[in-house]
Amino acid sequence: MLKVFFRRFILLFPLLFLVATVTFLLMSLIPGDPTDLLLGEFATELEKERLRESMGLNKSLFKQYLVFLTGLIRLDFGFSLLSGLSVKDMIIQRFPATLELSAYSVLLSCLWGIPAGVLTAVTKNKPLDFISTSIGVLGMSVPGYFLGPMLIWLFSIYFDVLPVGGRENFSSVILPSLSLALPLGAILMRITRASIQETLTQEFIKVAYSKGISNFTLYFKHALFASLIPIITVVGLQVGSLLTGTVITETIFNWPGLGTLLFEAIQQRDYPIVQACIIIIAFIYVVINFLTDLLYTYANPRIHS
Amino acid sequence: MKKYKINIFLVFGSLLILLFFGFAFWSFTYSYDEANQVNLSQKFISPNFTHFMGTDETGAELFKKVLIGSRVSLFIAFSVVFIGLIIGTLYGSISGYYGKKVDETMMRLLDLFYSFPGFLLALTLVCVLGPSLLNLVFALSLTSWTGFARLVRGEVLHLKELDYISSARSIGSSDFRILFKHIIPNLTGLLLVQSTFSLAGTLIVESGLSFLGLGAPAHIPTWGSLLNSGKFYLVEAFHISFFPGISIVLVVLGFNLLGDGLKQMLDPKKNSVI
Repeated sequence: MLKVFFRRFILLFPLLFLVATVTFLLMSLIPGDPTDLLLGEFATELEKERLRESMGLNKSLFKQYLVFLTGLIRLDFGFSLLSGLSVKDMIIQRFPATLELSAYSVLLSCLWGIPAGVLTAVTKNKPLDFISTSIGVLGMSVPGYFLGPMLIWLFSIYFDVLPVGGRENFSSVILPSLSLALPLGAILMRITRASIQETLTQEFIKVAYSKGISNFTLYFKHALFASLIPIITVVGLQVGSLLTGTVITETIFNWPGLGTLLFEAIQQRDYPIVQACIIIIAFIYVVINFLTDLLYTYANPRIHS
Repeated sequence: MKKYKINIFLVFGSLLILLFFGFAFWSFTYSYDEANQVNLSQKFISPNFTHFMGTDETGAELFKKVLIGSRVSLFIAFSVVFIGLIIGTLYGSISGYYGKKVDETMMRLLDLFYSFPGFLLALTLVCVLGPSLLNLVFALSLTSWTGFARLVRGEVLHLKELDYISSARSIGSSDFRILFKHIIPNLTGLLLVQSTFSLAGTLIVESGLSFLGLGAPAHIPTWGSLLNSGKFYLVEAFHISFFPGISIVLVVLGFNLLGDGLKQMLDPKKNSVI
């Protein structure tokens, strides 16, 4: 197990390095001169030249790449083109909001998705089965950027009980996390259901049943624990895509996280921020996938060899 | 002829897709400019008999814009999935068929594509290349093939060990012939199911990018961009967000139902859904 861990862990670094390199190369392909943006159309060539020099843009691409890499190792992402603030500080300031939103969303989706999956797997009730399958498919088909505005309309405008956006108190996190957790929970429900149904056909379930344990213990302990592997994998993979999903959800609810930072930076063409946000989100995604992989290996002894 | 059991999901899904294909063809009867026509005296009209979906914040007919949206979304989704299907199948079958070093190298490269979040890669590319339909197709295609490649590779690894393949090889069939005549045709059902789900996924990502203003150019109405402009007028004109949004839901639902239905029809043993 430890050997597997180390081998994967070592492979993680070239991957992160490649992700950073690809992002850098892509960003350097952007046409146009950042100095036009900063100084306006009426700046003289001399002024532009000075600015390019101070920003290191007159160096060759390879030298810029080296500067970028050494900066990355020290977690220094340069400065915002518009505000001149340190990008690192901006990210540190925004990051907790994204973390909070993601945590609530994952928690919420597990809280409704997994029990719903277990319940629908064990009831042999045709109408209920049909309804749950329909909810599962529907949940997968409703994107957060439609659910978000609809939730705003229902709870903030029609009933007027929850705030439209921002991040003031606990009530502001309800709608954004709901709009992420409903589709995610639907996926979890489907996976849990399929996985439990498969587990229930196995011998040990019959043995446990014939021992006379309660249905609740049978389903929520024996069956659920034996079915956890696919569920863990899906939660892990979904946390990764949740992070990219927050870009949209955060802009809808004006949630001051990494997603809105990235979105605003794209609109203002503030490329150092765009680059840093993309690298940070991609890194977290890669690391979460790595951890999921490990957990999966750990939870399933058959994969060890 | 094998007898297939048709299920209700399959029928309902196909009908939804057909409906939106109809919408897409209907939208060819007028141009972008006609759909975008500004008429400020008629803005924010709620849906009624003359304005089926009401009018938007510029007074333009929302229905016309939604129809164009279905054309754009279906065009992008089908192009992206088609490209992904071709590249992914070729890549996966070569990797799985030749195995060993070839497989190892090709799979590591695939891992690299897999590890970069697809939505973020598409977002970065569109941000770099600028908004246009072709750029959007290119950006989305870059990740759409990976799912196909993994699926095909796994199946080919299994199929190539079967007796009929060694028989084909022993009578002197070339690798090319074995792959294209004996292996890939066996994957048709599987690829069909995967393509349907992939269409649903691509549509969601495409509309998401359009929602952020990183999809099609501004003069082309898309469901994502309509939804985005509608969110500012939720109080006075709820329908501007509702109709484009519900269209996305219905098309994606159609593809998901179709995929589920095909999966159950082609492989009744495994009716579990992922």
